[in-house]
Amino acid sequence: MNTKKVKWKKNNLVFHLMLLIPVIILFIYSYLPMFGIVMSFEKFSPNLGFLKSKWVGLDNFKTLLLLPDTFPAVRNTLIIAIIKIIGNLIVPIVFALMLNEVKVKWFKKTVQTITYLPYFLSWVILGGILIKFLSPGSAASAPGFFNNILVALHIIKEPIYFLGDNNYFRGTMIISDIWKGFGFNTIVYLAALTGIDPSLYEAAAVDGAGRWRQTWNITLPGIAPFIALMTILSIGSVLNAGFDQIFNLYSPAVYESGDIIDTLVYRLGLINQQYSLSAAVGLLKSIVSLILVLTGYKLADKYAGYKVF
Amino acid sequence: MKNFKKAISLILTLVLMITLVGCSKKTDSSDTENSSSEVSNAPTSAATDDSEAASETKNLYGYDTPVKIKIGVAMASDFSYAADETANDNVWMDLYRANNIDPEILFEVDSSQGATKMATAILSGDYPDIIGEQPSEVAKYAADGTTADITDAYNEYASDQLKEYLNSDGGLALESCKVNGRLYALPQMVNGYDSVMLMFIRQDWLDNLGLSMPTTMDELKTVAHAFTFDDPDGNGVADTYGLALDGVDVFASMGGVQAVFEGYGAPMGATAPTFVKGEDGKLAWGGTFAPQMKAGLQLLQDMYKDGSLAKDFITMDGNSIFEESSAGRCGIWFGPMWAGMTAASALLKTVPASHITSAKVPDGLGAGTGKAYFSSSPSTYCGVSSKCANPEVLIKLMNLSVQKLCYPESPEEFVKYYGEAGKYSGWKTSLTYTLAPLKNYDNYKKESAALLSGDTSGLNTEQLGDYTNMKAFLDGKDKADFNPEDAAVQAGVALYTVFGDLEGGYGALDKLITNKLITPSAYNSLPTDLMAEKTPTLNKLAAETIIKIITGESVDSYDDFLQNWKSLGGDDITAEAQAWADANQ
Amino acid sequence: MKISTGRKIFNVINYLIIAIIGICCIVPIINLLAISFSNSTAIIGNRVGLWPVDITLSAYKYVIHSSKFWTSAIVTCKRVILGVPINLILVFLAAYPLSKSDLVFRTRKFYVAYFMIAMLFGGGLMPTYYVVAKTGLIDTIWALIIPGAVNIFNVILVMNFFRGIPIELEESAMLDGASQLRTLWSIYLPLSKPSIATITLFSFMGHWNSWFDGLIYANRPQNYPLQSYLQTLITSTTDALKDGDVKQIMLLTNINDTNMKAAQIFISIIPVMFIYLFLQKYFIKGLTLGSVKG
Repeated sequence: MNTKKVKWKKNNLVFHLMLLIPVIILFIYSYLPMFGIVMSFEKFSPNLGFLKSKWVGLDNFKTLLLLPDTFPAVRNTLIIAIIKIIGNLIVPIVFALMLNEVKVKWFKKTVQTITYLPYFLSWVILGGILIKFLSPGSAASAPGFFNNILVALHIIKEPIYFLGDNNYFRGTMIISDIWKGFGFNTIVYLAALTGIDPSLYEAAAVDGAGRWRQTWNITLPGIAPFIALMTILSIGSVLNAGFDQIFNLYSPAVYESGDIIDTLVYRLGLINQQYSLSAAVGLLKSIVSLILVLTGYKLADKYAGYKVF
Repeated sequence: MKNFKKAISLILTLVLMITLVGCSKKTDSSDTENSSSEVSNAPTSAATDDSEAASETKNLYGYDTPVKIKIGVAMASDFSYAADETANDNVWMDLYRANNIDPEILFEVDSSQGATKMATAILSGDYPDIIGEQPSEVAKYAADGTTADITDAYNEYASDQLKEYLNSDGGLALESCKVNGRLYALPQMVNGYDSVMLMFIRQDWLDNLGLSMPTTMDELKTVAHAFTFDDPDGNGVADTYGLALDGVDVFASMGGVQAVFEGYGAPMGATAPTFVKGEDGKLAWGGTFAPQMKAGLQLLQDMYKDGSLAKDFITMDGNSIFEESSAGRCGIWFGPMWAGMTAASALLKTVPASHITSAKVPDGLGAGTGKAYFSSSPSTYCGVSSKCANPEVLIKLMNLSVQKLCYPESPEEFVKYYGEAGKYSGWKTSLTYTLAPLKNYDNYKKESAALLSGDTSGLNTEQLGDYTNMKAFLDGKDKADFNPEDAAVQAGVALYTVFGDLEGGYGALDKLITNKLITPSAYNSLPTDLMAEKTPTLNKLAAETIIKIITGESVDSYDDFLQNWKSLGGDDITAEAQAWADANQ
Repeated sequence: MKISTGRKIFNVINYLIIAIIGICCIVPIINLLAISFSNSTAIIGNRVGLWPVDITLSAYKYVIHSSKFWTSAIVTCKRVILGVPINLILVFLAAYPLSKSDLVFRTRKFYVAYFMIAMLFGGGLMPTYYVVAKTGLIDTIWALIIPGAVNIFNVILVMNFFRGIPIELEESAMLDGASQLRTLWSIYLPLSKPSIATITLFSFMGHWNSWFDGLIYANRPQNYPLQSYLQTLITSTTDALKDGDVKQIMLLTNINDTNMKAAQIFISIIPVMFIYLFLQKYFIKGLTLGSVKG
């Protein structure tokens, strides 16, 4: 019994050692900067630094509430993020199901390869591409490629200003984000699909279940744990509606529908140099994220029996 | 936005110099006003005792032994050093080192990162000794202790030339940047006229359609409509439209929406808190003149609806408007006196008969109601770090640059420090941009006169250079062997749009000035804390509202915006401006 | 087995829709490629579709000679070569203990909380910059590598993956007297090829595509990684305008550089495409094995 205990201890020591360097790095670069949270309670000025800037308590938070940008930013973040999460779940699954039916190997492989491609491009790049691609043109100059096609196919009469019209901006962000990522997510679900025991399908076919029935009763439950994992991991990031994407594609005309918490933080902090406000927003965001992640964890545990961590 | 006002006047002069292609022979002409006094830049021996002789041999331009200073460089990524010059190795750095001022580059970043880099540098304690500041930062840095009190240093070391430079506007800027009566930064003087908004138009289109230059907003609407639907370029294709505006930055210099509202008598300014005297004598932001604003908004909304205002103007920034005008798509745009240059040179290649002229922004509510907004508030200041052991180095650096750029001893010296394409990167590489503020207006008067009379005797070097280029364009354009791509011609046609043509940028400006159709800024001091804090948000709200109304929302919703504006700080900052005005009558 | 007509129709529609979707994914990129080979005037006129107009190689010629482009590309390569292995090592080292059950590793829950909080809370730009500056990393390649070296999302993925490895393997290794480190090295890692491939891919992409940190931490343009440089390129001309730099403005029409930007963008995409094509086979398994049991 004693040797076992010693072994435990020795093992634990090794574990601690293995975690040592990551822990140190996190401490220096993730925890130490957290002291900067005091900035949210100060009227921060770079020269005075964190310790000497004037303390203003909750003033920054009060200002935030009154700032006309705050509510739209939060609202936009939630709307965009939630729809993105749902979209990024449904579309890849559906597409995976569709691809699963494809028997022609080369077709399947080619499509997979092509659809992953946008995932690997940065939003800096895609921003440059999409701005021209989605351009509505002007009364005289030709619109970008996308509008051209839509008009040519009589889907719309006039070019739409996707990136500049508040009615379309959110949709454009959501769809372009799904477009960027679905190929990649599809592979994941495809692989999950292949993990389902084929004999289940055969048995169901014998029992007279049609394909749709089979899909509903076998396929989906079969990949449910994975869907759960992906969903939970996404919930924690619901407040990240996609800084990279929105930053590279937005403009003042669409702040009302497209400004999200992170772009607000960026503008306040780096452009307007209102560091304290920026820090205050950041702090609020972190607190809410924490609550969401914990909630997600509890839900996964309760309903899928799955401990994410 | 940062340096635009000062930059425009200064840069334009630079442009003229830099486009001195094929102008190798410079005739010795009279310089600009050359004050006598100390022009020497050889280091004199430092005084060791406090006798009278000591103060006369005081070194105003450098030191006896090398003094190290830390600097930060932030250039736009499309700025490139001429010849072999680099940030560390160019004529200005050589000049400094010759005077025992040894700059050490702490960082060199893209201009978009400049503000962030400075802030993070200040935070980490290791920041440049010479600091370029926005007006809103002057008081902040002074209060925080980031910059040093240079009142004494200024009194002791400022050269007469520097003092003259700083008093070119009567001392207003210098006085207004003091914090608690002490100096913490020196302004980089600008010529407010260089940033007055004008209207630019395709004269050839007007001629083709038999229309005349619009002087009222209704006429503008008609002309814009014609430009959109009546095929003004006569090519049988509907590929043109009337007006282009900046929908991204909204209140910008190129294509800024504020120009339209100035025509209606509601000056809104670009970035700085903009206050003018209202009819009741009280200070107000032009945007609060609701009837005028709404009239302007209605006009723009109508124009947007029928396509006379570009449908995609919302994604157009200043750069796009350059493209649009250069490609011959848009026929009308607003901007400062230089706003026609790019289109002029580009169009010359594709449409030889193109002619871009300029006029004041049309009147919205009757003749004479439209007045251009004018402000000569500096947009940049120079400060020195409080951690610098030799704060007077700032004064010395400015003495140097004022001498080189405003009172050069010879045309060669002038070119060396101004810059010349292919040889010297020029004034942008200096640490203190102190170009002569009133140069451009003078250039216009002299050069346009010379073009008419043919008499070039009164022109200085740069004016002569401009003249030569413009002549290359004017004389050459009707000839059979005309080559529009020739560099001198390209430079010439661009310059002509500003300085040569009596109907060009400065020509229109001249008429405005003579006829006193200008509304001067009523608040001419550093932005207060509150202003610095609120203005970005207020401007953003204004920009969004204006765009929304133009693209379709009800014009009356502007009233709701005004309510918001007032309660979000608009009233407060107006009160502060009023207080300043009252105290400084 | 006879295929019903309904099924046939379904198949046809299925293939068709999939094909269209596939095309949608690639069209913007082809458009980009076309622009990079097109003439400037055509680009301004928005005439370029899927095929270059007035084909010209000048954009690519410019890029080959652009030292700024290659310098920044090299910085990114350095960052990848150094950063990805470091990332891999740290992630796997951290995930291994965390994948053990709470009984075996007593303080596991504490570490998990430690990691999670680090993932959710951040000091923001200024404090992080301050720490990075005080630890002497500013303007070095390490500023791009170390602060983000422990990617917690990846740790969670690998942790889940490790849990999917049968516990019997570990127990038999222990019986044979192997230490934990030995077990990790000889048993777990060989079985983790999919996971390694996945994390490598994620890490590579993270380093390749990241642009914000390069902008903030570099003091000299020579230290910009590729995406940071591209970002300044794409936003550059607007800055010149804000400064009212007339000389630059005057030069703008003479060089419409959209095709050059397009060329640079396209070249920077190529390595990424290579890597993922190469690692394709592995990372599929890596993503799923952890969660789909059996």
